[in-house]
Amino acid sequence: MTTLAYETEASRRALEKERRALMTQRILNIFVYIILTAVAYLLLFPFLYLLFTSLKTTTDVFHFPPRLLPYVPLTTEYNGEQVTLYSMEVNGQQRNMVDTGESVRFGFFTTEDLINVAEPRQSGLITQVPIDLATDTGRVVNVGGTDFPVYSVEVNGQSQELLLAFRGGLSRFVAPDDPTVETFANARTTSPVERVEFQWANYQSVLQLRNLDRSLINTALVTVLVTAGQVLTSLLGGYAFSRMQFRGRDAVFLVYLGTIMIPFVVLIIPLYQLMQVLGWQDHLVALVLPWIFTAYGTFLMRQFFITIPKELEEAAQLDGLSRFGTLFRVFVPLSGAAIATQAIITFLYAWNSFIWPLVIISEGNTPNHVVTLTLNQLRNAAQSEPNLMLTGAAVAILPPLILFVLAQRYFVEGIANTGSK
Amino acid sequence: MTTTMQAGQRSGIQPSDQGMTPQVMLVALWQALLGVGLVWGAIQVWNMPEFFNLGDVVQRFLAVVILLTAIAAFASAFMVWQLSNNGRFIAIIMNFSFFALSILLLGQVLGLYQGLDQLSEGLWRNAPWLLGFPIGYALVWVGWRFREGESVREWLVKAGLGVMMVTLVILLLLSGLPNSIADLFRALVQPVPLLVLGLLIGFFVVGTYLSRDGARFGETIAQRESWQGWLFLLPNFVNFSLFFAIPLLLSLYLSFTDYNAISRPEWVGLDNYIGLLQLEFHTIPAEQASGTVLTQGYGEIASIGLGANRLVIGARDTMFWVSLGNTFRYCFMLLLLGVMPALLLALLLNTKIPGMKFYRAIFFLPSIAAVVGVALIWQWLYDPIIGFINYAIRFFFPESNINWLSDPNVMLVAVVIMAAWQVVGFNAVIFLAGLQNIPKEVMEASTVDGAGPITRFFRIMMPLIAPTTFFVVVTTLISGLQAFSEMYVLLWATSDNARLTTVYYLYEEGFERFQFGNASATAWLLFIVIFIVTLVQFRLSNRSSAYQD
Repeated sequence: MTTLAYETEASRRALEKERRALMTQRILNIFVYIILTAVAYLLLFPFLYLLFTSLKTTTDVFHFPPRLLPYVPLTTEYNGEQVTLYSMEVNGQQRNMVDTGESVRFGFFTTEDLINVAEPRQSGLITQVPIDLATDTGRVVNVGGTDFPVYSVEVNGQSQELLLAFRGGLSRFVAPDDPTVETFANARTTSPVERVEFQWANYQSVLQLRNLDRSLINTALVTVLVTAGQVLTSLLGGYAFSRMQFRGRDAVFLVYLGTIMIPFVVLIIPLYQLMQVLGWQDHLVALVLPWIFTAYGTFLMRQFFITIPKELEEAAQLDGLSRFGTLFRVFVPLSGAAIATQAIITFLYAWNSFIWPLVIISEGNTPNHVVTLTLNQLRNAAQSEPNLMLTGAAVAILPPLILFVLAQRYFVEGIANTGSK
Repeated sequence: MTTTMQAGQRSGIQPSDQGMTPQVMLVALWQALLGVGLVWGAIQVWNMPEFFNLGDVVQRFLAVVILLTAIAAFASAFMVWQLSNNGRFIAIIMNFSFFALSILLLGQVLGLYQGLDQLSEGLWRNAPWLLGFPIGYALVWVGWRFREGESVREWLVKAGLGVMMVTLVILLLLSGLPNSIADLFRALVQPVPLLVLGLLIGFFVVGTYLSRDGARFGETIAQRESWQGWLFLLPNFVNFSLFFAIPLLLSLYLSFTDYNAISRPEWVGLDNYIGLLQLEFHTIPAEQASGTVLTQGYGEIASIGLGANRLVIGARDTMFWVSLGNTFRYCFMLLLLGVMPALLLALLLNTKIPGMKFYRAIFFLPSIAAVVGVALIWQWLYDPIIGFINYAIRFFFPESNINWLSDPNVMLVAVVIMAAWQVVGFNAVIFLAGLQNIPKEVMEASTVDGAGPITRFFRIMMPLIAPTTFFVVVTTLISGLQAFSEMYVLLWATSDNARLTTVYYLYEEGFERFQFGNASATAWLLFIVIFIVTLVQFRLSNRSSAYQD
């Protein structure tokens, strides 16, 4: 009986301990989620900025302080014209008003204590009234060496004698539905009523700007050809290196491995010369054919093919499949993930490449530009229209993004695996 | 006669497979003719008055290579005559290689490659039809979702592929394919293309015949695999030779020449390298101006105080040294901002919480965008007035106003921040893969042994993921050493030397000042730096992998 009580006591304590551990874990997880979300927001912020700025009007981009969402000023019809609405306080109420365009001379009144002699416009003010409604007493008060005229002004229904700090014009604002409701304010400091509105038309106009539509098609064509070519040559080469014995194989493989280290810039000048000799300079082919070979891709494919059991191949050959048949009927279906990974790496590389197109396609040859070149030109040309510039950037970034969403698994896991090998 | 007997004995399958036949004689003759043609070609190349402005060395080198090929052709002709399988091997490889080269050449003489521009233009004119591809893909995708209904699935996949196929045909037709084909035929009926076409067919026929007639040459299975292996490698190898190996050699040669794209390259030995690297050191009193001691043509790149004196370092090519210094500074900062935070992120992601994959995908996102596009975004984020970065900084330091992209002291930092943003998630994903490869038992055992989280991290995790760390560091470093687009696009408005990296210097030297020789030498120096970095990594990771055993 006593042992039983002891056991329940122990199990209860163990349970308690477990629950507490779970609790700690949960709190820790929430903490981790908060940090991860903050980092994710920070990392996504440039993209959010890109997306929202690409949907702004040009004036909205230059709004200070900066804000993320695209706004447009609200307008209404007043006297047969579309005019901007301003939000301001009238008789203690927030109302939407329109600028009548009329300016009224105002006097700004204060006391001797509140006046700022050096900068009268910075003085603390008691009231502001149309100058015609105040009566000049004819007297002046000297404050710190400057004479200020004294006026008789009505404040809260009582007449009061105050100093005129300065005069200035104020615009007359009226409520569009009720022109008797009026107020006066400095047009420059009033804030317009705005609402969020997306300028989808930006995307339409940017496509025509600087041939962006043409360069998108060029880039797509080049990228598809390069990707298909690289995958094909890598499949054949990888199969030869992994599954066939031939004279000179290991020597060639070693050379291939060595070339992975060589930076592209070593080749850039002779390749440029070669393109000139072949007459490919300024043509899209210069972006395709020299890029069909990839030592890295061949290496990756070989590494993957090595892991495929030899028995499968032997069985296929017993069934009468040729080498070619074995590769495309047996190996390729088994290597979907490896092919996808390589295709994605190549796609990104080809789509985003910049220095080679910059060198080989001249600046004036816009029909053969790829998106990176067009963006580079857009950067110079649309400096005063950041919204269009960023719309262009969004259009260029979108296709890899769509691919990423479609093939996220291969992207992240495939690339993670190449790193750990 | 004896060789024939031996061959017959070795294969000994059918009498018809043995002995010399007219076909074999024809092949030997073909190989001999090929040799003659190649000799003629070598002489032509040797005697060319102007070899594309590439200079005598390249011309002679090419002629010798062609001559060597000619010798191989003669040798194979003789050996095929002798029914030797080695000769047949050479002949097969040679014919198929020339077949591949002829295809490329035919495209070249027909102007097929420039036609790619017209194809692209055609696609552009008929862009709405391109929608057929996503529609077809969507059908296939939907089809793949049906696990059970085999017939529905098959039908959808077929429909999708059909839509894509029809789209392709329509696009090609609308893009003026019929006209192009007509043009192609018209271009083909010229002496040169016809000759190339004839050679192409000849190479193919001879190669195919030889590959099928193995028994006559006493071919073993291993020998069969040998030429088959080469044929598989061929597309890869032809491209490698044409667009990698040849340019690589040419680049090495150009780095030893004075060459400005218009004149012929002139051999200058190591002059380019010396000009880039030459330094001079002077110790002068601290108050003395350094201009007085530096040799004519030298510029000061550094000055180090040594008490009352200071050491002035001058360089002949100041821009190169400045660019090299910037590159190293950039790499150092990129490692700080792009690798260490990545490790922290990976540790956070490694907590096995649900939704980890979602975060991982988001972190990865910046690395897939084009640098040019990204730089456009950051250009506005960095804007001194309306940019969000200064806006955020002003929350903490209201008086600050950093001119990120025009102040020489911070512009490199601005580029590093952008580059780190692009690379950090990518690196985190790779680190995460390394962390997940650590066996669970190891971590559990260490917890049982009473190791705290910090001890566990430094004593167990870090050594175990050392290979991953090296991989991340080296890939980040190598990409940092080649940084160009980032500066070119983000710092376009400034001409301050702070924007120069080594590749930027190379670009300006090569494609603005057209000093091809010097630019090539710069490229090779950069390669040497990358080579050393890789070598060090290799050594270190070999040593560290001792932990893994």
